[in-house]
Amino acid sequence: MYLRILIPNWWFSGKPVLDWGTRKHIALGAARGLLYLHEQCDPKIIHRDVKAANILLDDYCEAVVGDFGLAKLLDHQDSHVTTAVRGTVGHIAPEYLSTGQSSEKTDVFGFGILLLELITGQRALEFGKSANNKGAMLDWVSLFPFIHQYTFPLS
Amino acid sequence: MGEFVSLYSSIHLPFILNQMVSLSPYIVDIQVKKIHQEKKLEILVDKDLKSNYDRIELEEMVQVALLCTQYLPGHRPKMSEVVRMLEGDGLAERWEASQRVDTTKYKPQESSSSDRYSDLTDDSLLLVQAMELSGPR
Repeated sequence: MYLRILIPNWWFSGKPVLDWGTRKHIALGAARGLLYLHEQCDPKIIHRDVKAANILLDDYCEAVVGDFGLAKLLDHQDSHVTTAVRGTVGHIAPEYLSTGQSSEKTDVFGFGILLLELITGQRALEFGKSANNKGAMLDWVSLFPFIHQYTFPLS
Repeated sequence: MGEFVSLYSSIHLPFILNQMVSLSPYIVDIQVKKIHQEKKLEILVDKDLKSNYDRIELEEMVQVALLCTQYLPGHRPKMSEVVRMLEGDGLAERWEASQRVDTTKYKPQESSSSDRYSDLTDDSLLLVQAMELSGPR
């Protein structure tokens, strides 16, 4: 019988810190799980909420991709699906946010953020704050022209 | 900021605000990118690890994370490529290639307007306008 624990709970559970090798192992395990969903399932499965909180670990720290509440089935010839935007702030890919289109690449984006969570031991939204408090705000400001262009390119 | 607000009606504002909140991963991404360029990766690492990690492996994992979080979905690798890169196969080549195309992104102030619009050729952006016309979903 496996004990499964959500990764963010691990940070607060009083268990020993996940060592670097284990983190690499979790990253690779989660990546293989997503590879299976995207490229080996028919129809393919887009998870759409990839984050550390949705990766479960067993007693041997094998990663299991969990929580398929937002997942979509997609034929292999279809490039994307258009829906209302659902997901976790801090993990949503830009094209999904602005157009409602999600694809495997939406999950790849979430996986990139998951890697940063594994490296830093922090959740996506917390990282910006602690890494550079002032800098985050300055980045907001400098991003304004950037948001403008990508959001309303033709107006 | 004032100019930015006055350009768009209040109908647009909730949409813009939503974008701003959700842009935090890109800010994280920009910060990570900067830290990577400045070779200060140790700032990123979980303090609880102390120095019990491999610097080269750390740099590789950060590179994979940056490749995965590129702005345009077409630039991001497929999961099969991600798995190969995490296994140590093909990351250097992919990273080199991304550095060559990655000259205009995240630097809107520094590029000319033609550069900027050439970066907007992704057809998904036309759908932004379509969504605006058809109202909120």
